[in-house]
Amino acid sequence: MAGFADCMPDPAILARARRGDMKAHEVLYASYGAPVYTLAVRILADPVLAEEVLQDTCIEVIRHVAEFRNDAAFGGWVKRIATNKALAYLRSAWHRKSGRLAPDDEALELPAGGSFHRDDPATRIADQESLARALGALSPTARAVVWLYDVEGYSHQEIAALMGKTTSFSKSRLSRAHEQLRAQLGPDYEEVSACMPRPNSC
Amino acid sequence: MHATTEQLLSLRDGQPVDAGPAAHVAGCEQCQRELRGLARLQARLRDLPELQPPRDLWRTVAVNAVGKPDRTRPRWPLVVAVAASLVLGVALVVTTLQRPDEGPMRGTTTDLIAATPAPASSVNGVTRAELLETSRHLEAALRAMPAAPQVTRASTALTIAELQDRILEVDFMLSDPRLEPGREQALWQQRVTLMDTLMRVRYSQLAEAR
Repeated sequence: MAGFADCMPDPAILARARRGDMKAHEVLYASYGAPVYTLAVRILADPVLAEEVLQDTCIEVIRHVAEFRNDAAFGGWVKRIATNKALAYLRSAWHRKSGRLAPDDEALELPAGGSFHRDDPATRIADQESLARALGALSPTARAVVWLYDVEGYSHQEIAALMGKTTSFSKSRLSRAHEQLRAQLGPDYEEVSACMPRPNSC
Repeated sequence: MHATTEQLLSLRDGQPVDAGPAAHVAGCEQCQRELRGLARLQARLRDLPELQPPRDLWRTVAVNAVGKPDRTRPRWPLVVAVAASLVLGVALVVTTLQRPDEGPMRGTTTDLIAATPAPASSVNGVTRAELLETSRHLEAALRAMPAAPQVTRASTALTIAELQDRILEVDFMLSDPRLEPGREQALWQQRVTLMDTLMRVRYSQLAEAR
């Protein structure tokens, strides 16, 4: 996954965007649109809300890019905006009540299934789908902590600050989420294959 | 005793862990297997494919963002606009803080809007003349509102465009000389309702931009 790390626009494009050139903004959007949308879908488990997060992030970037001076950190800046927007949706009482998100401490039950890492593309896709489903079945907070920590590279301190919680909250949510994910996904292929007798190919 | 998931995650990420659990993991096959599993799960999460947003999303993000002023041009119009917005903002705040029995500050947009009669659609038995008067007031109030912000939520911008289109449609129908009086009255009523709605949306658009 490319992600925000690859979101390093040409300084000339950023300069044009700062002058309000919408073509330049479109170029910027092409670089950050997918990472923002991915982050939002993974955290919120809702493509419609993820579109809202992307729209809100775009508007924030357009409004404030003129004040942002550190070109090299553009991706990190956009990631921070998108994360805050996604977490704001997660906290929104309206969305909690709307039933789109599961209650904070209840993960949805998924049938446990073996999702072994294999080299053939079909199995790999099925594996990714089952992982995405298991992630989506976690409680909203656990899902956000896992994604922000394991994929986006936020520290527990940063997550705690973003969520208005403590560092131990972030750590305990992460470990619980890992336990739930591994329970949902079943044993790993490599471990299982090491224990299973291999068919004799001779 | 085996290490907890939290301790294993700390070991995975190179964070400090008490000597006891760390020594246990080093010599325990089960904990080692758990540790490898946690590392693999992180790798699999990072390996999930990037998702593409809907193709036309950019076009609907900021429809009013096109045509931002060129900074090489003299900035006086911008300065005047900002000053006018500030004056309007202060006027709105002062008006809001006034006691209910006090009227809005004279000469402000709020004053103009306050002077505008209630939408005709909510008033029973209005005459054609009253509807025309209300329509004129609303027209003036809308003209007096500050320019739309350069960046607007797509949904707000679309609503405004749709309302403006519908007002144009009503105006076109009103221009028909063969219009029956009853039909004309209904159209004027419709126009007033549409303009009232448009004004409310424009208010929320300005509030959104603050």
